Amino acid sequence: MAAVALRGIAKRFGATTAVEGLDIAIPDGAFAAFLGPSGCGKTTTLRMVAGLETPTEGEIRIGEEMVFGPRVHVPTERRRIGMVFQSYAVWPHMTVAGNVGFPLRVAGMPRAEATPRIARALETVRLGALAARYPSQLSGGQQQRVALARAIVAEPRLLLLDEPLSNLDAKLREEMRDEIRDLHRRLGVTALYVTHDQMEALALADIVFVMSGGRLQQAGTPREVYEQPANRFVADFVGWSNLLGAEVAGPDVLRIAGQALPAAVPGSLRVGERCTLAVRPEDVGLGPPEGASLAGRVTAVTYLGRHQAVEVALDGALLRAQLPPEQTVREGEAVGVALPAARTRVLPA
Amino acid sequence: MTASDPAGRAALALLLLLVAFLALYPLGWLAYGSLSTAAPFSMQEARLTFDNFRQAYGDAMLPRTAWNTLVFAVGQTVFAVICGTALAWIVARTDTPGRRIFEVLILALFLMPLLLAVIAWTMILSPQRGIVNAALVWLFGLESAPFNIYSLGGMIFVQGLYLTPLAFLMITPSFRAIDSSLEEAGRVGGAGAFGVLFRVTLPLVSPAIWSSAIMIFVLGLESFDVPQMLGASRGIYTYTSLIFYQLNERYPADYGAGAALAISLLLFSLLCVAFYRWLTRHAGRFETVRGKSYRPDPVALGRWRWVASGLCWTFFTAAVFLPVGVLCLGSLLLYYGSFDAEIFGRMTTANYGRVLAHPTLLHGFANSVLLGIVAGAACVLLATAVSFTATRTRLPGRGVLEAIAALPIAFPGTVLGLALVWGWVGVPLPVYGTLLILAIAYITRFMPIALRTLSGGMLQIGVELEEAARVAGASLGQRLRWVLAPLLRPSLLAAWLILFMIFIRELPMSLLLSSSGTPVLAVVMFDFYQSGELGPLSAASVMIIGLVVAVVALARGALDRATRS
Repeated sequence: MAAVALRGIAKRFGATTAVEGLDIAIPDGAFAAFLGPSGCGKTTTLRMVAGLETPTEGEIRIGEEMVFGPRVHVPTERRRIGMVFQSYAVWPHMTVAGNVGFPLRVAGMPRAEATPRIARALETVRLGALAARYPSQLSGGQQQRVALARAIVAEPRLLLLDEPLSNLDAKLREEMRDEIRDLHRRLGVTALYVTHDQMEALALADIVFVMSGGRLQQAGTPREVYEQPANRFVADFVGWSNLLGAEVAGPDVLRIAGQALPAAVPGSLRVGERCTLAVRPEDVGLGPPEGASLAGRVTAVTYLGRHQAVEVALDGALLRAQLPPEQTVREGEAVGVALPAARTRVLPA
Repeated sequence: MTASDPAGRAALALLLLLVAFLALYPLGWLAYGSLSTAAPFSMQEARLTFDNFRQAYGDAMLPRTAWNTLVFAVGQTVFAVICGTALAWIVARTDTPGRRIFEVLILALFLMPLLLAVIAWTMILSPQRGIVNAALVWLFGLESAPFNIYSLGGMIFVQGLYLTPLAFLMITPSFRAIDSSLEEAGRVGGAGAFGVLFRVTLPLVSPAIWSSAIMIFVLGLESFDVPQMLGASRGIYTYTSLIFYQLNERYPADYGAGAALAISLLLFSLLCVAFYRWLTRHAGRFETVRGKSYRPDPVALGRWRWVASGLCWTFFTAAVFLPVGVLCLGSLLLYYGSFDAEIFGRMTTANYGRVLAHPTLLHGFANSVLLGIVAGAACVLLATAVSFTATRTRLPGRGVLEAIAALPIAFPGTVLGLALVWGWVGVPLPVYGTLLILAIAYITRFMPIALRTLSGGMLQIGVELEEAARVAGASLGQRLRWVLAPLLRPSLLAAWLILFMIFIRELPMSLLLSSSGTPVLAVVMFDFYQSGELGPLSAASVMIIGLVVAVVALARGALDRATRS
């Protein structure tokens, strides 16, 4: 078990930059999720921690040991880690027990000592009965369990998981997600988990690192990231899908589409500065135009069963709202828009 | 292995040195030889001049030779590509009865050594002794034999027949990959089965047809067996047989003029291969995009399917059954050439007895099998190292390594053979005149084929399978031994088998490089052919065909076991 620290990590492939200026600290025993869209650098980061990619610059420490730095490059096979790959990467020519026992075999552990550990690892992922099978006889979920058992059998100080659930179907994905969380709780091993699925990250992680364009956008607990996104990108990625251009009109007042709106303006923004107002569709209220702070016009209504999706034009800006199915709205109708200050976030432009 | 891995870099440097030595060292000598006035390592004082080119190209035979080469190469390409495309379409896209058998037969055809096929065809269509000629004369009361295999047309026919499987193998995957809804859309649009074939299906596979055509054209340029055995004795030369003529039939041998011809042939062949690479540069990308496999519905040909089936049976009769039958017949006769009612009474097994008691043939056979096994294994190992470095590491220079190793695909056997004579004849090491020079020649020339066979298998093994082993703590040696080698075993065995088959039949380099102390099978057979001993020649051919079939059957068993585990 070990803490992980990345300092000033950058990775460039020729002229393109995959990761830039990454500083990350993960406490011992924590479950950390790297969250971001494809191409954001999250997998590259994980592979640099594993030693499967070489950073262009920076330092990586696992526990007290520097595994990458000036004139230091500990190869993957000596980093004492476990890793679960997106494609499972179980070896088709070995049995389940052979796959799981491989890390012990390369370490030269005597068979008598290895056998009970293999059995224990297989029990942990509930595959004890399938030890003699070949991977081709297993389902996708079972193969992923084999990969998980193989990653933990040698008691690594660090467990890396690269989108381990993305090849599974939806129902199995939720089941495996809970299993991975339980496994982490029981073993207490530091885990780094890469995903593009915010629900996975929120459900699993103690600490979430949101990445985009090779840079860290926000680090925080799932609650912090979900409720207090640091910038437009994070807000959009965690579901604050209305991002409206606005201007700071005064202390705790915004001007948006020519109309004034009370909002919690952070102290870092000065009066007259451009900013972004973020609000989730489910927090947008529509009512009669009289007495509302903002006036708009309904441009589209789509009935979706559990709710209806409504688009409202706000003098140039477009706002998406989610209304209960019983509320009646008609296309072309003039409406008043309620954006309660407690449910909006004011972000830098 | 990453760029910063010093052990990896050292290994790559060593590999690069070895591959460059194999492929480039003889070429350097060939270039020097084409400009030098002296024979290889003679004591003569050497000057650099263009006299060799002047001499070679001033030769009265040259314009005719260049023309013959072009006609031969184009003719056999057209023949093989038309037959190959037709067979591929029939097998892959239609409901013609017997498709599965045709697929097996075409593989059998692929295994038929060209040398033996040429021998058989002289026994079928020679004007004096050809059995089919004799039958036609008898049937129609002709004055003279209607066909002469010793002609440009005969050369094109035999070569085209035996390159058809290659065209088939290169084109069939494209036919199979066509989504049948594209053809069905053509049917809906009102086109008949043949309208769909010419307007929809063939245009879709035309990239594969063109690339196979270029590949086969290059093989025609490089071909030696057919032009030498069917053309040279009648004064019909191509570039390769003219080079051989300069070295073997002239006295004193003109190594300079040979080298000058070889260099020009090499440049032309390199140009064609470069064009081929350019044409197929996107082929890999297509394959990966097409992850989905279609279950194409065959086109129903109606009554035409019996015609298609008949054409296929005719083709395979000509390509497989007739030649093998004639060889069997010839092996049982002491004198081949008169076909009358008493022929069955004259049959004897004496030829087999002579073959089995022939010391040079047995020696040559042993040498060829030894080279096939040992040099074949060495070639597979070297190709594995090159392919591994090129596809599995990020070492700088890996691309150059692969390019150099794949270069000899453009070396005609005659050219590489001559280059190796220049490069080794004076080196005071036990190489020239031993089996070692033959091993070097075979390994160099057929490395690209080994690479091709292996790279498919190498690419099938996901990178993560090896990365997972690294994460598990396995060193390079452990990864190779426990993960990569077991997964690669079917590809390794397949490559070894293919090389074995090629090595035991290789003729042009063997003719130039083997000595009386190191006979190899193909050369002994060639000498038999030159002296016209058809009886023992047929008996030996039948035995070689039997051996090839046995080896393939054994290897298939081994491959099946390796694939299953």
